[in-house]
Parts: sequence; structure tokens; C-alpha cells
Amino acid sequence: MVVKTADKHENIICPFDWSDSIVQQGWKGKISTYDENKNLPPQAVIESLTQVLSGLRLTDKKLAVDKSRITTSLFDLMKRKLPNVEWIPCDEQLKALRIEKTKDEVDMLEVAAKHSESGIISALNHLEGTVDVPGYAISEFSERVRVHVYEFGGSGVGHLATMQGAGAQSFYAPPLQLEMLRGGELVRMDVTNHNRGYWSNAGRMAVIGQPSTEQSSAYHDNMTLKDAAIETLLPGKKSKDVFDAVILSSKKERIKFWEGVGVGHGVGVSDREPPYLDYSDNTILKPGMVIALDIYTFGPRKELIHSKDTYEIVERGSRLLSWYRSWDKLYAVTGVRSTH
Amino acid sequence: MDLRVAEKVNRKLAATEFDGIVVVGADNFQYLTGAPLPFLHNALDRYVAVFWPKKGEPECICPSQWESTIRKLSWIKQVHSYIESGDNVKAATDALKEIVRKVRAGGIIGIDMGRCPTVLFENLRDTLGELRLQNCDGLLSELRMNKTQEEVQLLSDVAYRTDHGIQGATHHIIITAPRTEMAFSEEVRVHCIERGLETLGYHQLSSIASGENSKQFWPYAPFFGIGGGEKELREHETLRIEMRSSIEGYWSDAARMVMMGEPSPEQKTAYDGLVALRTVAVDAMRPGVKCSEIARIISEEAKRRGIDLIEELGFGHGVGVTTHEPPYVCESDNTPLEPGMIIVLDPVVYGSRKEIIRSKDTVLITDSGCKILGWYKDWRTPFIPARVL
Repeated sequence: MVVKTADKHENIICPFDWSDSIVQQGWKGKISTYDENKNLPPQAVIESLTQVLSGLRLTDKKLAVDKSRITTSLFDLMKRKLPNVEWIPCDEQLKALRIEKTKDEVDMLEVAAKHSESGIISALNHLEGTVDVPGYAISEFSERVRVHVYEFGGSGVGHLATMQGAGAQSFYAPPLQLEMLRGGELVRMDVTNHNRGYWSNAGRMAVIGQPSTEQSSAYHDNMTLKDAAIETLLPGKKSKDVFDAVILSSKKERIKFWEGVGVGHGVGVSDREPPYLDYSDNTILKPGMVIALDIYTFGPRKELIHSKDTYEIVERGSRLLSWYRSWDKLYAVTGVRSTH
Repeated sequence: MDLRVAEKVNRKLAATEFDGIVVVGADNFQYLTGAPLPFLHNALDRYVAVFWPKKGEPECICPSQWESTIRKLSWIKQVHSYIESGDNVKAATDALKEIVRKVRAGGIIGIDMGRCPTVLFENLRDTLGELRLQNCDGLLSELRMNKTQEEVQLLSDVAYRTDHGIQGATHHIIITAPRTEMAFSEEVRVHCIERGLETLGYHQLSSIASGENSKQFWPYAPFFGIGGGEKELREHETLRIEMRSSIEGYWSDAARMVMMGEPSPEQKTAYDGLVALRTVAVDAMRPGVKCSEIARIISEEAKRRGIDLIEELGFGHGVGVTTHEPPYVCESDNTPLEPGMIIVLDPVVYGSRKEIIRSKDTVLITDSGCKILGWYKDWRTPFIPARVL
């Protein structure tokens, strides 16, 4: 829990063993640790919060709280223990703060996006040398994505999934897949990773061997819709305008896409956050917003195809943060490194 | 994998006043669906929920993106998805309303208030106006604390493989041919993967701390999934290994100590002190004894022996679909131990140079006492690597 006052007093409340990690990461404010031996977690937190607020003479003031995150039990306890505090939700204010990034935050997110990219590309490079005999198991490939994210400086990996062929019809499959990557299959590689707490959310496609006409065409369809989205990714446009542009292109080009999941979202201290590029979000795009553009189309075997890119909204449009190589064409794992 | 959780839930729920329960917490969702979704913990604007009625089949809701995955992984057959919007609270509530409305007017619905965000709870309460929402955290806690035989088997396996993974990696240490903490943490993780463990998701941890770094709990934050440093392991130092990994969403929470050479008298005293605390705890752990009593025994033994025990963390906790869950071995938890509970026993002490020394044992409460799970090595002594190849 963080307590932050208008006169710039800052205090983190946390378990005893987390305080050193918070200091190490640059926290300059106060830290109050609670004793998990003397009280179970909810009560322990409230005791500590009460002490902090008493010290600041705030126990009868108006305090804002993130009601979309705080649990019902914890909030009930807070209200009982601090009956004279007037609690006001501040979720909209926090959303507004988080949605437009500072330059330093954009820099952190760009590095995170590059880590994803390097992780996936490097794992593919290793795969190139093994496609004939015996190749990799899917879980081995995922593991290589993770290792390369770390090797390029990433500080953590969250979601990680590789799926091929019919297995790629779902959003996610558990990591332990001993099935080998097979020639002729489309492969989807998804990873989320953070750069000191700032997240990238990436997904790429490849094909093992030379792509069939249908596979190339399916990937090209995805790029077509993506181009329509990028043209609309401009300051002053609404988030839903980007979605609508993809709908329009989809109808015009007769390309089906997965409308229900939208076409992208923000990234920041989480890997999925506002604004949401879907049918309902009227958020006006502004410079400093960082968007993971993510359009799902369908492959010849109903595989989910996407190529997820991170963009910063800038004064005159958008800036691509994530490319280490061109993803205009489907990546073909042919075993010949000179092809990429 | 059928962990026979559903039968237990039905049995326990039948004995409550609830007409059904709604759970929204990521951990509770996994527990009740059997679907390990490691990304749920970070998906704070995307709501999932299980409705488990007293009579009838359980159903769940989720964003449309996850529907086919949950259908594949879960034993729950009725999976309903909603289209996400800027207001997922409303979307999720509307979806949930459709399945919860089968409960009679005036019925009581349990909800995991310890997990449910306040805005979602308030929306549910307003939308399901004819039903009474009551906290069911106690029921869920009781369900999750007392493992089925199948859960015990799985957690025992995870604990064993993790210990084996740690041991496998320690065998590569040569005192005179040092490696870095980062490289060694990767070796631990890879050895765990080689033993069929998953090192994925937001609970995962692979951490190494030696020498001066071992004075901190998290010397390389935010590198929790990999030891972040170039510091080499050195002779005579104390080395702490921490590893959390899983199989099908069921976790181990392990920590072990390595002494980089024959332990000094001070190192030996500190480690022996830790062993003494674990021993008195294990001797006392049996059905009927309260967790607070175990905590008191550990604390008193530390005082009697003059051991520098860190009290603020408590001395252990449950493990299951998360790495840290009830019951808690601490002064304030009066939960009586019962057969089928699995506890990670974790008294933590300071060494003579304020190194943090811990060696976590996963302990199963049996009908007559308790049993340490997963020792690949006898941890009454620390691991001491070979000096030369």
C-alpha cells in the first residue's frame, strides 16, 4: 500500500522482507513494515496504515483510494478502523496519470519492447540451425525466448506461450508441450516481459519451412488490417476510431478478424491497461500514450494470427518502438540464417 | 489432472448456508476450475468468476479471449464469455447475473471478498439485488488448506523435484572455479525445468544470494525470476538459494543453504540453530495443535538457545495454488493443524554477519504427526560443494 499526501509525504506499507527490495529500486520515501507474526495480513496492514495516517493527522480527512483494485475485505476493514475518514474513489485520476507516459517511461517501455523482440528473434535464430534434425520441442522454444529476453537485459518474464498449428487456435496453452515444432506449421510466439517494472506485450508469427500460399496470404491479411489501424493511430483520434478503421478495412477487404478482443491496448506498469482499442473506448489518443496494437486474424487451420507491435503516440502520428527486424512478411524458419 | 477438488467442494458447500458461491480471485478461480492461467494475476481489468451452486453444475465466466483455453484446461464444462469493453465490471457482472439468477430470491451467495475488488463487489451487490452476498473466504480457506490426496501427491512431487533441481545445480559448484550468482540461478532454474517443473508466471522465483548479498532478502529486485548479479560465489561465503516452481499451477516454495567450504564455527552455529528450530517444530506438528502453538514453540526455542530469529515474517505458511497461503505459522493464527494440510516451515535466522539463513521444508500433516516432503538430501546439514574438480 502507498500513502501519498498533497504535501508530498510518501509512505509505503509492506511486509518486513520486502522493504530492502523497495529501497534498492530507488524509493526515497518512508517505508513502514508490518509484522506478519503478530497479525494476519489484512489486520496487519490496517494496523500499519492506521499508524501512518495518525502520524500524518489524516484520520478525519478526505482520502482517495483505488476502489477498482482494493479488495472488499480490506476496504471494509479500513472503513471500520478509520471511521472518520471520507473515502473517495480515485481510479479515474490514476488512469489519467498512467495513460499518458513521461518521456522516461516511454524510454523504459521502448527498451522492454526491444527485449521482447530480441527474445523472440534470437530464439528463432537458434531454431534455424535445428529444423531438420531433430528440431525443438515447443516448450524448449518458449524457454529460449525467455532466456534471450533475460540475456538482452529484461528483468522479468510474465506470460509466455508458443503454439503451433491447430494448437494455435486458442489464446494460450500450458508451457510444458513436448510436441516438436513441425515443418509446414504456423507458429505463434507470445511473451510479456518487463524492464524494471515497465512491460512489453508481444506476439509474433513464424512458419516452419517455406510458407504455403494460404499461410502467406493469411499473414498478409493481418498486415492489411494492421495498416488500417496504423493510419488511424493519431493524436486526436478516439481509441474506438482505430477499432472502427479495422472494421471498415475488414469489410472492404473481406478479411475476418476477432472483433471481440479489440485491436489493442495500452502498456505501462502492467502488460494490458487503458486505453483499449475496442468498440466502446472513447479515450482521445494523445502524445505520450503507448499502445500495443494487436489484431487477431485467422490462418488456414483457424490458427490465431497476430503480430503485436508497440507504438508511441507522437505529435504527428505514431512511432514504432518494437521492431528489431521487418515483420511485413511472415518469418520463415528455413534453416538458412542468411535469409534474415 | 483430476485432483478430486470438485467432490470436496460439493460436500463442504452442502454443509453451509450458502446457496452457491462466486469466486473472482485468480487463485480461487484456478482452484475451482482446475485451469492454471499464469497471466491472471496481472490481468487486473479482466474479470473471471466461477459460480458454484449448491445444487447443479458449476459454471464460469471469462473474457472471450480466454474461453477456448479455459474449456481445454478446466473440468468445468459451462464456460461463458463476455465481450470486453471499457467497462469490464459491467460486462462481467452482466455475464455473471445470467448464471447466478438461477438461485432463488433471497438466497445467500458466498463471495471471496478477500479477493474481489470493491467496485466489482458493489456492482454485483447492486445488480443481484434479490440475493444476499456474504463473505465466503473462510469456506475457501478451509477448502484450500485441507488438500485432497491427489493434491498432496502433486505438491509432494513438486516439492521433491524442486529439491532435486536445487541439488542438481549445487553439484555443479566447484569452489575454486567460481561462477556468478546470475549464472548459478539459471542453473538452478534449468535443473528444475529438466525435472519437469514449470518456471512460469508471476509466482515464479529463482534467486541466489551470497556473501554480502545474503544479508538482503531480495538483493536483485526486480530480477525475481533470475539472479541479477555478476558477483561471483566465493570460498567461505554463505549461499542462499530460493526457488519457486510449479506443475499444473501447484507450487513449491523452496530455500536451501550452501556453505562455500567447510563451515566456520559461526556458520555452523547459525545453521545448527536453524536446524534446531525446524526440529522442535516438526516434533510438535500434529493434528489438533494450533499454528500459533507451533510459532510459540519456535520462538521459545530460539530464546532458550540465543538464536537470532527473525520474528516479523512468521515461521511458515501453506502452499498450494499459490506459494504463500493459509494457514500461517505465526502467533496470530489459531488454525488447528489437520491431516492433509501442507506447510512450508520457514523459520529465518541471522548468521553472525547478519546473513539471512533459511531452509524451507515442505511438511505434510498426517494422522499421527507430520512428514517432511521432498528431501532429496538430508538438510540437517547444508550442502558443501567440492573444492576442486
